[in-house]
Amino acid sequence: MTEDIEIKEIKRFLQTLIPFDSLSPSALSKAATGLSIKYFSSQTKHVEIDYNNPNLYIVRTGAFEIRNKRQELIDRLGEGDYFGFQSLLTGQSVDNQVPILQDGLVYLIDQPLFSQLCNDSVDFERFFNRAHAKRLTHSSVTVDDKVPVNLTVKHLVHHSVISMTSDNRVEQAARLMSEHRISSLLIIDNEALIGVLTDRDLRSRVLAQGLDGRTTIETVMTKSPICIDINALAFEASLLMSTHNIHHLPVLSEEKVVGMITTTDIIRSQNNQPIFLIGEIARATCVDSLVNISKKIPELLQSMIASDARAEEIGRVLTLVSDSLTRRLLILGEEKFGKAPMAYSWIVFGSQGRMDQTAGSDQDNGMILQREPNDDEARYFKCLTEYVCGALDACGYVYCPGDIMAQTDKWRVDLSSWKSYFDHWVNTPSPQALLNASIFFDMRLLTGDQQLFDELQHFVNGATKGNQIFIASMAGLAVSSTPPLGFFGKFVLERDGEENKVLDLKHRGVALINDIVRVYALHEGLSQANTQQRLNQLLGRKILSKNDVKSLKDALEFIADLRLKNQGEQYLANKPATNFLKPKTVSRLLQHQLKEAFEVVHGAQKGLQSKFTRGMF
Amino acid sequence: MNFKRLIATAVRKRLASKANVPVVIEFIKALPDLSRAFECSELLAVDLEMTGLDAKEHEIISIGWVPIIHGEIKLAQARNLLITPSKSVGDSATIHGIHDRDLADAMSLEQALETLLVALKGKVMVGHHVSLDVAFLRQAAKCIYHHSLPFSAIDTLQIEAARLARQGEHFDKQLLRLNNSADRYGLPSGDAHNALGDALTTAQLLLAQVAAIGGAHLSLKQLLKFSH
Repeated sequence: MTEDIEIKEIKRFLQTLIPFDSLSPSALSKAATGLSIKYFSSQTKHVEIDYNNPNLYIVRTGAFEIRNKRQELIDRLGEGDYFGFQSLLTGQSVDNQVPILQDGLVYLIDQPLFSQLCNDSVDFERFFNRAHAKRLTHSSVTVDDKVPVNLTVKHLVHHSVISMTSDNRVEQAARLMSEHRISSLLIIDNEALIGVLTDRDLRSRVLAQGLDGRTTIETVMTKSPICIDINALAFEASLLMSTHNIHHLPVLSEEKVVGMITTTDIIRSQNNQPIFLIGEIARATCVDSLVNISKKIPELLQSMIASDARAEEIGRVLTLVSDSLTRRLLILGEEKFGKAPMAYSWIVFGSQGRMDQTAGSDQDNGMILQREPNDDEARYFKCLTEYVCGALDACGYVYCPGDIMAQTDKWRVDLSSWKSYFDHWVNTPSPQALLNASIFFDMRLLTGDQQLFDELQHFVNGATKGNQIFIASMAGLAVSSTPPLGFFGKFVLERDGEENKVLDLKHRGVALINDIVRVYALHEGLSQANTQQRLNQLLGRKILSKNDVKSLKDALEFIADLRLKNQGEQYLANKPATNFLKPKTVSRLLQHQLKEAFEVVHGAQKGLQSKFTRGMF
Repeated sequence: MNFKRLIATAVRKRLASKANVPVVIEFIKALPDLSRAFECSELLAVDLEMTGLDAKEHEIISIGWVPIIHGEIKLAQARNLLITPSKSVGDSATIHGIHDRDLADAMSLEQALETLLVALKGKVMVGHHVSLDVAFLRQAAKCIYHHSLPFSAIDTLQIEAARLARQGEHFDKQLLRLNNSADRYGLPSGDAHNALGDALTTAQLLLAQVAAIGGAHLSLKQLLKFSH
């Protein structure tokens, strides 16, 4: 051997980079020995990119920015980041500018070498194509059909809509059903679903009643059937069926009937772990057994994390479990203290309201009473709510540190008092008051009187929709904390209790997105409390572009997923669940994507600020 | 100016007429234009590993280089040559990590020098404490071609010393070492005491220094002024 032209230091550096780590040893050597090196000085302001000789630029030292032709910041780059690959992939010049923030060395890989590397590794090529697409991807979060927790109704529904009009006779219906070998029929008049006719209806409402085949469907069908949305979890469908003791659910997509789902479909889809848990909850007869059952919740969470369920779905399943617990406790409470002397609504706020509970969520709830209670009635509800809240605490849903619970006198009042609370928050918004009140705007009826809740919801929507001063105050609040990105695109780390340098994925990630989306939802008068659903409803509205909605959805799912995975690791290491992530513990690609997600949050905050708080803050 | 250049050309021609090896003639004839801007020039960052510090007594055992073409370091044209010395590397192996066994089938000094001269043709040499490298190369040329060769060389150590002096700081000589200098610009330190690694660090250091002094529009002549 007379020569050794490999520079180990460069190879070592490349090796730490995604996607260079996916290259074969020989391709990696080729990259390390074939690149060129340039030095960019901040005195020259911009990197001049020669589009006739496109290169992949790899930042080795220094700091750079990517700005579009309107001078808006697209990305900040530091060690290990890339630019210039767009023109390498498309052969076209790009209007982006690359200002130089801090002098630095940059490695260049020219077109022929880049092509060789793409040929060597599919991952390598895919990485740059994906980066080029510039949308956050989270390929790690795939829906595995074998994992029923992830299953949505969409996976199970029969898309053939077999229907009849209600003026047909039951014998025609029976013939159609046996022809298609189905056990139920959708009854549709004027394109609207008005009923369902099932095997059981034919048996118990026709034959058992001594009616003949000429009876019209209308007289024996189940009218205004309970339906389910196509995006709901299969698990939710089975919950609906078991609570209402039915075996068929018409499936709706954007309010239109698209098919039917049956108990058999669900049984076929197997998995019953959460269902099993909820079944146990429904059968529990005392608080002690509920406490025991809730000890299985961490395991349920673990198995869902391990099965790569989407963060959104995990939040929903965990919330359904705590909803069931609450419902069961209210039933047990009414058995203990007697039937409630008046109608009430049990409402939930914050994470339970949004249906995004995680490990260790505290309880945030309240009660709307039908009217102002007399002394006896007040005593009854005090006992009932103390019983339920106390049991929830014992089950792991600890008392709300801010006392936002139905057992607190202030949050167990009649409708007009609730209205006056909201009226106060909306019409005399002080930042401090709003900071404490914002979780109330993520509210949801858990159980009880629908009308009471609807009235309150209607009132709140009316008060907030288009209310510029209130919306501006909420927007100001939503931008008061920023994602943890520093000047050079580096993470800004804080210290956790053990003096580790960490990122707070909740308060400086997920919560910021919830805050941003809440403002839009209130502005538009949406009734949804779930952030993803709010975003779905915002899709197509003028206030937010389709791209912004998608980016926010992706960023939320990405950060929430990382937070859950991190909690999964903590659980496996026997450590308490926290929201703190040590960025060094995740791959460069995840770090990169996390930065992108934070950029999305940053951008959305700016958008919010310019739309709603102009001139006010 | 032109007069000086004419003299330099005349001197080179006289040297070339004495030389009888084609590579040497080519090398001497290809005169780098020192009035050109750095960003339009071709340079070669060179580093030698020796068995000691005395050019008359010690030997070159490795030459590494990397070209800087129009302000861009081209790794694809980097080389790292190992040379079989006439004597054992002795204790110097502890510094450069090259042992006699590594050099058993390496090239001869003559082959190595010829390869370097081809690469260096028309380019300006760059080195860190380059006078030492130049002394060894001159000595080698004397032994092989029996006359001296002209090496115009930019010294990153001298540039660094001038920069530190100008900042009015009282500085330790240690600060001028290659890796310490690279550190000051936030540059990665290469594989130390490997000729190619040090040549690359030197090349990167020069790029950073040029940016700090006043940019790539500086002429080579201005850079050379720093080096003396």
